[in-house]
Amino acid sequence: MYRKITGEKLKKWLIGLSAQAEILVPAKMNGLWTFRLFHNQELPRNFLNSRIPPKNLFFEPLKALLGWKAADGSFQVNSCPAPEAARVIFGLKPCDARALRLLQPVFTGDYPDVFYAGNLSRTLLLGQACRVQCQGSFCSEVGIDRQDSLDFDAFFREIPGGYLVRVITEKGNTLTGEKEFFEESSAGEWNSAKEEIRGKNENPLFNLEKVKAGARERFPDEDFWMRVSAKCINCGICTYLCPTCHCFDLCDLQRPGQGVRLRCFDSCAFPDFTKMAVHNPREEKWRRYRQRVSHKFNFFYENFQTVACVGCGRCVAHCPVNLDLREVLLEMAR
Amino acid sequence: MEAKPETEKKEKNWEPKILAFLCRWCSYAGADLTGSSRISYPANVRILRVPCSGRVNPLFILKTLRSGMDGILVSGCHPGDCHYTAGNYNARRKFAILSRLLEYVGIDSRRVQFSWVSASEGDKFAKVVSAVVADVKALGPNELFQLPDFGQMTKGPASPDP
Amino acid sequence: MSEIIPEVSKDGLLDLGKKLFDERRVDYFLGYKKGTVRFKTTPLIAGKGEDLQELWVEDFCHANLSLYLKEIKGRVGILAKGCDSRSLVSLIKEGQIKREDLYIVGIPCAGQVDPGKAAKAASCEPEEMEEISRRGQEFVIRANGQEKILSKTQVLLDKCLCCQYPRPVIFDSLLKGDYVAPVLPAARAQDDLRKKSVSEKWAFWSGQFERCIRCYACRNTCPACFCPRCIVEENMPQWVSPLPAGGDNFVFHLMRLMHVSGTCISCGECQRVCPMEIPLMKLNEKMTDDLRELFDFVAGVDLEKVLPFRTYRQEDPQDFIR
Repeated sequence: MYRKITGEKLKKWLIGLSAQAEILVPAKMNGLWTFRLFHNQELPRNFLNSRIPPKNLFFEPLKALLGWKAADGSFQVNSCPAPEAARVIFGLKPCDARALRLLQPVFTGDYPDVFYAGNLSRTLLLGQACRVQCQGSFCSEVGIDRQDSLDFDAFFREIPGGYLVRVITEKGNTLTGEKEFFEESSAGEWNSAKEEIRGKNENPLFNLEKVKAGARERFPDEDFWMRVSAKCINCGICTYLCPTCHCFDLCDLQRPGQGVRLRCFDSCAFPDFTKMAVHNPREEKWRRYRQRVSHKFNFFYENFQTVACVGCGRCVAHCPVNLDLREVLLEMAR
Repeated sequence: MEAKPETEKKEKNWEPKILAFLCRWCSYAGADLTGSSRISYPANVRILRVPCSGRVNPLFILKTLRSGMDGILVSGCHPGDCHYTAGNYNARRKFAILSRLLEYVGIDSRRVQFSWVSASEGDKFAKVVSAVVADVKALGPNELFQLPDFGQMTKGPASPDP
Repeated sequence: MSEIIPEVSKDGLLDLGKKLFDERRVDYFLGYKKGTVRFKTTPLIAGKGEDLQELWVEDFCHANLSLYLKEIKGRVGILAKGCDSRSLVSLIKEGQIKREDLYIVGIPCAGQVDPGKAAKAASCEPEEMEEISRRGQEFVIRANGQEKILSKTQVLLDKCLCCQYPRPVIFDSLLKGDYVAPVLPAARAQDDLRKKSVSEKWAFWSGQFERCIRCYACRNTCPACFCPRCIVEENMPQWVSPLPAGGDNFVFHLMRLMHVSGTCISCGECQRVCPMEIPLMKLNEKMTDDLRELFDFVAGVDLEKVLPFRTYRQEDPQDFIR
């Protein structure tokens, strides 16, 4: 089903929605793009993507999980409540939405995480088609259609004066069904509005099947991993900006008689990530780098039938030493 | 008579908490002398004995501020009298830099103070503590950092606006 | 210190590198290679002469290569801009490397480009910039098909605008070129923040500390942070909480600053790599200014001068002590 809406009506619609839900839209803060509460501001037309992935709105970088109180011999543990308030995020990009979907089996599988599940169910995902290739990105190579993604509740495409909307889920249908804002449109109109991505790679950078095969076959090739990871400095930027990374650490804060257990991010790139009482199996940097790439392109695929990388390009664009994952994948695929 | 509202009562009764790092050979002994001389000084100060003022790592001061203590005092031997010869000279340099840095970041220099108090200066210690307590009282409670509010943290998600 | 071996040209650099490997004077050579994204270079860690084919010493050589000396031990050849050479002096003084293990090739630097700053001056988004090139003493920014001319002050990293050491203070060879500061006189614009009130300063810095995500890029890219195990990784006991809360970030950053004081030469890499664009250099500059003012100490310049916290003077300032 297809609809369309003008820019002005979209703003009015969002203002109306904000009475029932938190509305988050792309906005700049401290010079960086991020998602902020909508206060009737102009919606950006040249927005590529946020610095910090919107995954952080679902899997928070600092989250209280449970609290305990011990008084007069009794001991009480309270789980923090799952989030429930309705929320709408507008302007999400296909890569980030795919990341949210591929993290679903992780957080809602055998060991359900009430916070992720709660955040996902309370949030309406409204996507926006890409028009420009992000620096360092390779989303199409990992199978993401930037102009026609189905990972949202509704997907918007910018046209002069407004947006075309492709309705995907029932939730999306209900919410975009308000006749005073949305007009009906057609598949024909939708298809003819498809644009050429500016700055796109002429040819695909690599073949994903070959990359997956390479991840399997190259695993024991120590020289390869030592060579490709030589300039890595073990910071955590790639993992902290990644829309699919989900390693975490637990930290307890306590006072006499009460305490809180918090979860924060961790990074497999950190040297002590796998340090245990007796031994650190990933003492050397190349082992950690091999683990990072193999997890995303080999092990995660084996477990969940999808690679855990959406090609958003943040790690490539922001690595302090320009360690380019694309180069590594290309070489691995040979 | 009308009962005073809770908050006002709290503020009126607020007493600053000061952590004092005292060097074992001079300042701690000096503080001890203050007590045995029966000189009164404000009870706001909690004493932590260190072997030398040079032992005080800037990290201790930063952590103390972070944990919500209202004021910090570091006290050692007078220059030239350090039991370990140069510990207090090293401390003097470290704290010169640290106190300027703290002020640059926006932490009032009255919250973190330093003194030289010798083992025989019982009265000086009392005067120093009184002055520090008065300074910190004038500044108000340390509200620089959000301390874990255990009750609040287990309630619901925080505002989404980053 | 170091004898000036005749200047080498860019072609000569390749020959020099090959010679160093052939004569087994170095096991590795650290240089720059063209980056895979716009306006960036990437470190080149050459293990043999042939690898040096990809050496690049044009624009965007931001990285302070001495950071790899934490990991790469043994005899190393290294390209060093004026600022980077001070890191080498600092590391030698801290006993992290031996002078005889290094073969330092100084490279001229006309100031390094700050793409974010250039984009702001050109009133466009960083992603919209297609090209940044030099035209004489000015820069040409091409964005969205249009060209804009900008001055050096609008494009170069802030640290380059107050460059005091354009010529490496320590080297074995110098690459041919002009060793002058990009902007003269090398006076720094005063940090406005220093004049503000205590509460304004706290409003600024507490906001910045809230934004830190604790990726540790600043720490890892810093040559002065050479501890094999950082204190933040210690969890028995835990000195610095790993939580990205404003207060814990405050402890981390100020503690790190105190740890690198005396070794930090204001190369600015910490600020450049920060993904949240936190102005860390303001803190470094304040500290280095204080070290100079109070103890007459400038890091990374004099191999003989003792580090500031390893010595003292009777007359050290103590007006802040009761």
